[in-house]
Amino acid sequence: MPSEALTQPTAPAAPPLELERLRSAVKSRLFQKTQEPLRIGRFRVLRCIGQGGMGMVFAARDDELQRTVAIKLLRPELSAARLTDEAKALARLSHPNVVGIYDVGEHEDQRFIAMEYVDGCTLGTWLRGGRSLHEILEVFIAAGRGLAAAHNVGLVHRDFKPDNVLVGRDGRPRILDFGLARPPDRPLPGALIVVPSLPEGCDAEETALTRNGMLLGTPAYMAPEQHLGEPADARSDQFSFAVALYEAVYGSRPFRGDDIRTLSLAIVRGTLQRPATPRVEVPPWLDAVLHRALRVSPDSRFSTIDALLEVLVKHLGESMPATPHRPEPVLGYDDTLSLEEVRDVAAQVGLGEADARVALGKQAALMPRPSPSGVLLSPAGQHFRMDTAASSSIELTHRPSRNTMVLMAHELEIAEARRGKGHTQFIGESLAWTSPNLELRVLPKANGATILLVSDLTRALKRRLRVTLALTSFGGFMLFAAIAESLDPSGSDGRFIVAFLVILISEVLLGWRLARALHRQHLAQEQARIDHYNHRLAALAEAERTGPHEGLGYVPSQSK
Amino acid sequence: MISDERSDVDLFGAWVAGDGEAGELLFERHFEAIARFFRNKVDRGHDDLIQKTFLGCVEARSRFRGDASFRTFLFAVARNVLGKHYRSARRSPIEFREVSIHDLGASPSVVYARDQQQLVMLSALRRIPLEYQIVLELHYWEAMTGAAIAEVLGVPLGTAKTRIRRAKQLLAAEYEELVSGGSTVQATETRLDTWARSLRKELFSSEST
Repeated sequence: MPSEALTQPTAPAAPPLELERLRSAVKSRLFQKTQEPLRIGRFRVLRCIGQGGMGMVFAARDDELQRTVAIKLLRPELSAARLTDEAKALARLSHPNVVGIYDVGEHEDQRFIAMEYVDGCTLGTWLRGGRSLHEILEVFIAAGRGLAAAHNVGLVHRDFKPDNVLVGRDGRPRILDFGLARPPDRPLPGALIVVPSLPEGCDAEETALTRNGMLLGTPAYMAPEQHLGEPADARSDQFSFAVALYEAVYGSRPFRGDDIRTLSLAIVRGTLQRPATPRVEVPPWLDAVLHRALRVSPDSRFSTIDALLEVLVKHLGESMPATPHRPEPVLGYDDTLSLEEVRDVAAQVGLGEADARVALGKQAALMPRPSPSGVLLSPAGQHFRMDTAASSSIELTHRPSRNTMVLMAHELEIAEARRGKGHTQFIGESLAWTSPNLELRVLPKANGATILLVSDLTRALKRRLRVTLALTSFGGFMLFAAIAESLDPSGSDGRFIVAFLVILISEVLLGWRLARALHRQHLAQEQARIDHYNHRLAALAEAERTGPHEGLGYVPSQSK
Repeated sequence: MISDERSDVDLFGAWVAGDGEAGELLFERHFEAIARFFRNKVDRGHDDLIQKTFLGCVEARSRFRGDASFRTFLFAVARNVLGKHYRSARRSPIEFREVSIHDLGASPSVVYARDQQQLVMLSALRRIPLEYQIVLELHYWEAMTGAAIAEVLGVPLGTAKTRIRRAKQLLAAEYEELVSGGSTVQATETRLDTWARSLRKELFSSEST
């Protein structure tokens, strides 16, 4: 099919205010001049705090009422629509778990909404801080109440997701972006196509679907009926709420797909994917609640979100007690370490295991990991939850003679001369050659043999860990020393120590991660190396088969 | 302020020598073009990148030959700033002629398109390797000649012309593919009705098996 004439690409235009803000910001930084503050309505723009599907969000100051507000500046095409009844209803709603609307206005052809400024982060970010089940439930129940309140005045959110919930420093969640995304009854004349393109790294599951330039939701959280283009109601919000809660407790989403189409199909069919290891211990009653709220048919879900919340509240007391107050982790730590690893890490830094655990915030119920049993050959060796052995095995169709096996060991010995002397021995019919890091086994069988080569990197890994951990722990000490200056030691011994431990452990974990990355590289290289060796050995054995019986005419290779 | 008739080169020289006003004028002249440069290539941190570009000019002033055009020098610096930006994110140097914005997983969020066609065009531009995207955007949006583009890329004129030609081919191919629905980007840009209908069809056909 011949392509149409390709017209010239034209430059995308930025909205005037944004361009102006950008110009002002860069100019003042480059030339150290204070620029005239930008104003939207009567509000003084402080900075840009985000960019959503509907427009940019700024922090601004209401000088008259002396408070900071958030201003959402809607895109020009979204500004033309008449203010919907829902937006008005939302403005009248005042609930602790719904972001309050203060004012609506116009700024140079763009509608803006002035709303409550929430100092905190999104629910998504909050959840990444390693929350206990109890904490998660508390926050979700509160958010659910916000949803319920809105439902009671006839509002439907249509785009509930963790990014649309803000959690303030006080721990109170507030829902954002209610009902403002409702598509107009008729397509607007000349409506622009506004498509938030795929955000960094998250691909299909984050993209919002649009119709005529109006947002209709985020596929991963949308209810089946929304995917099918049917009108959404309060029970669709319930579904989205359940997806978010599922993700929070299980650590992965209930419905998955490589692209939007597959994802949609999974949701519409109701094929739930259970994760192998849930993030927290999920009690059966919670599992049941989630499954019910995630039913394909809205009628099968809870009648209202209040009903769902009732069940959650009823069982809230039974869930694990809130963890003792601990300072916010300095770095997001890896909370999937097992007991063994905690011990290892603690040993490396000379801390008692109990102290390490306190600092890591682990609960008593850690799953002990069985340590690899000590065998001569441990092809699946693991330490610190990393594979520390590279192994290669080749099947021979011909059973090599003892002479050949000795020659194979000899070949390896020469190649490995640099790294250490090996020891050859016969165990029954099979040959074993052992050196500090490399093991060879030739195991004859009825019609052939197996050559097995295993390279153990445990020692190298331990050495590497020691070095990187020492370096980063040192960094931790320095950091702590710097902070210690400003802490009052006399009054807060306990906090002092815990802060110390947290910083130290965070640095340790940073070192661990670094070591892990380097180790993986090393492992890959090692694997390539022993694969190469193994092929040489196999070729050697083949040569015997094809060559004369006595005397192979084989010259040992020089070491690499 | 009387309108300045000084050339870019003069203003640059004055700025480098410490004349802040000259710097501001120069900034005003070229700010929008540089903002445009980054608009279809990064999704956030534009302030930072634009700032780094202008500062980068001052830092690299020894490499600026007074007889060359300031504009091409500026864009060359911008190109470097972009490369550094992605290199630091990936911890490895970027092969401009191989990797595209789309490959890098970054996508400018909220691209304001006038219509469907422009939208697809912008997406197509982000899918061809970075070097070619830069070449085309300079060619079409900044009306740069082959010679100017050659200066920006730091290659001979002949090479630049070949790159422009190649870039147009690649763009046409990507555009075709997007328009004919070969990739998932299309899915998000289809009207919901069509999407929902096809979804329903698939649902029923699989249930009947």
